[in-house]
Amino acid sequence: MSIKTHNTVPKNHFRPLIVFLVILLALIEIWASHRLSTNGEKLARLEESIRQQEIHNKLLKEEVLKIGSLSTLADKASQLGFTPVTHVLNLTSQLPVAFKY
Amino acid sequence: MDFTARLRLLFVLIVFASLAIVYRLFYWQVIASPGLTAAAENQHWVSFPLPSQRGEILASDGFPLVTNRQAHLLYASIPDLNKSSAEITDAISPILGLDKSSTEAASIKERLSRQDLVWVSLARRLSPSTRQQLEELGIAGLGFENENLRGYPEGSMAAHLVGFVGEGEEGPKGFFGLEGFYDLELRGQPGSMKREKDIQGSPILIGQAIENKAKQGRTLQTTINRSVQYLVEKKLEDGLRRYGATSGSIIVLDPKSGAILSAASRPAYDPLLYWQTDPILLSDPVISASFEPGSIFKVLIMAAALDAGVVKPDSRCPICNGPKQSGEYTIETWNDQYYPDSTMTEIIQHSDNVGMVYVAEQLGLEKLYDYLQQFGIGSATRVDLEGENVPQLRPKKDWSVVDLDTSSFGQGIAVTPLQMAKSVAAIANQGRMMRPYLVKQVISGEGSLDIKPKEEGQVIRPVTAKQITEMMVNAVEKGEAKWAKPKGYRIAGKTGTAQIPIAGHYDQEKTIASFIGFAPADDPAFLMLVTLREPSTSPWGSETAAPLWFEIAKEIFGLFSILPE
Repeated sequence: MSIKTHNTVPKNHFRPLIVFLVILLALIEIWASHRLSTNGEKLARLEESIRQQEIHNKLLKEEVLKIGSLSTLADKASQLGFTPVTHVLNLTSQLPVAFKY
Repeated sequence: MDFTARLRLLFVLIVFASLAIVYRLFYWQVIASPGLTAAAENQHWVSFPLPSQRGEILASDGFPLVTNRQAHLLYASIPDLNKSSAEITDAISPILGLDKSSTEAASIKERLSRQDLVWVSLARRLSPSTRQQLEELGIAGLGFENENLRGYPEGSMAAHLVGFVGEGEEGPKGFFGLEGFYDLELRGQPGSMKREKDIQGSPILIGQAIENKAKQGRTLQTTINRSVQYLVEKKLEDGLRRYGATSGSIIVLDPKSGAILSAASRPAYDPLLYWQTDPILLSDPVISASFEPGSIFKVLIMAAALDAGVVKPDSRCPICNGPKQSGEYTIETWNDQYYPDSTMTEIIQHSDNVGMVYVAEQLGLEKLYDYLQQFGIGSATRVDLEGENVPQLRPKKDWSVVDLDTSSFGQGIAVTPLQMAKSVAAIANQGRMMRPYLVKQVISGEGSLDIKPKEEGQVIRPVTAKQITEMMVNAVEKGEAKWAKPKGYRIAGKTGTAQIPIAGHYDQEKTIASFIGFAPADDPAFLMLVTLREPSTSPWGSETAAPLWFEIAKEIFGLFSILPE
C-alpha cells in the first residue's frame, strides 16, 4: 500500500497585496513630498502673517482699553457737560398714584 | 627599476594612501565631528523660542488694570551702518525725545562708534509709532526686536496695589503688590520649537518637528472696584490739596468678606516709569507705613472692655472730671474739656482720653493684651500683597502702667492702615475677623480657581459688636464731625488725631488725622479708613479726614445704590 503525500503549506495569497501596498505607499510618499516640497515657504509666510496679526491685535486692544479707561470716559463726560451727582433723590416715600387702584 | 622594486614602491604608496584616508576619516569622524554635526544641524534644523505672555491683572468688572503691550528695542549692527555715528545720532535723537546735546544722545553716539562690537542696543521700550518713525529714516544697520512690556490702560491707577515688573536675575520679575506676591502665577514659561528646514530656511512640512509648548501666565481677577478706586484716588488728591497734607492713604473694604475694594496712597508713582521713581515711594504705605492710630484706636479698646464685661454702654466714668495722673505723665483730654460721670457711649462721643484710661484700667493688661492680639495688632494681616511691614506689639512683660493708659487712646502703639481697617471690620462684621484679600479668581488656560473669603475667628461677640457700633453711630451723630455727615444714612465712625513721635517725644504741631467708619451701620456695604499726614489747615481729624470720608461715602452710596433711610 502506498501513501501519497501532499504539500500542506498553504500559498501566501497576501504577498502580492503587501508588495502592491508597499509600492503604492512609496508612490504616495513621493507624490506627497513632491506636492509639499514648495509649501514650506507658504507655511513660513502664514506663520509670519499670524505673528503680525497678533501684534496688530495687541495694538488694537491697547487702543480699545485706553478709550474705555475711566480717566478717558471722565474727560469725555466732562467735555459733554456731565457733572458728578451731588445729591440723592429718594422717590419711595410717597406711593405712585397708580398703586391706589 | 625592476619589477619587484616597482611593486614595493606601489605597495608603500598604497599603504601611505590608506593611512592618509584613515587619518582623514579619523579627523572627520572624531576630531571635527562636533563642529560638523553642529553645521549639519544648522543646515537641517531651525530652532526658535515660543514666547509666553505674563498674566493680566483685572479689576472686579473684568477690565484690565495691567495688561501686556507691544514695545520695541532699537539696536545697531555696526558693520552694516551706512552713516556716521554723529549723523545717525542727530537723526534719531528727536524721534527718541532726546536733546541732541543730552548725555543720553552722547551715550548713543558713543555706542555707535564702538568698533570692537558688532551689535549694540540703542533704546528700549519704544512704541510702535516711534518704531515706524525710525524705520522711515531708512538708515541701514538699524534694526528692532520685539519686547513684551506691561501696559496700564488706567494709567497709574492702583499702582501701589498692582506693583510693577522689573528686571530680575532670571529675566522679568514682579516687585511689590500683586505683581510681587503672585509672580510665579503671573509669569509664563517660554517654549521652544525645533524643526527641519529646507535650503531656503522654510519649514519642511513632512519633516520632523520637536515642540516644547509655551505656558502662558495666569490672569488674576481682583476685588478692586474700578469706579471706587478712581473716585478714591481723585478725592484723595483733592483732599491733600484742600487740607495741605503731605501724604495720605485711603482703604475701602467689604467688612463681610475682607475684599479690598480700593486702596490708594499719595504720593504714588507711575508703574510705567518705575525706574525713575524714588525707591521710598515704591512700597505701599497701606501695608508698610506704621503710625500711631490715636483716637480711632479707642473703638477697639472699648469693644474689648464691653466684650470682657468690665463696662457696659451706660456705665459711668468716675474719674472723668479732670486730668489723670499716670506715673510721671498727666493725661488730658484733647480739648481740655471734662465731662464728669460720662457714660461709655459719651466717652466715645467726646473722644475722652481720661475716660479711655478708666476703661483700660478696668480691663487690665492681661485682657487688653489678649484682645489686641485677637484684633490682629502686632500680626501680619496676611493680605495677598508683597511688602507688608508688621509693627511689633511690645512684649507684655515690658508694658508699664503708662503704656496701658496711653494705648487706650492709641498712643505708644503702632499699626498699619490695613491692620487698623481689618480690626474695625471685625466690629462691622458682627465680631468675625476676615482676612483682607485682593484676588478672587486665578484664571489659566486649564480653567479658573475661585478664592473664597477666609474667616480668622470670632474676636468679640455679636452683641458687643452691636453695642460698639451704636456707640460709633452716636459719635458720628453727635461728635465733632456731625456737620459733614450725609443726611439720611446711619454711619458708624470715629475720628482720630494722632501726634507724630519724633526722637523720643511727640511733635507739638504735626499730626496724623484720620477717620474710620462703616456704612450703612446696620448692614455695612463698605468700611473706609482715611488718614492724612500733617494737614496744615487744621490738625484735627474731625475737620480734615472726616469731611473727606463723608464726601467719598456720599458718592459710594450712589455707586452702590444705597438709599437713605
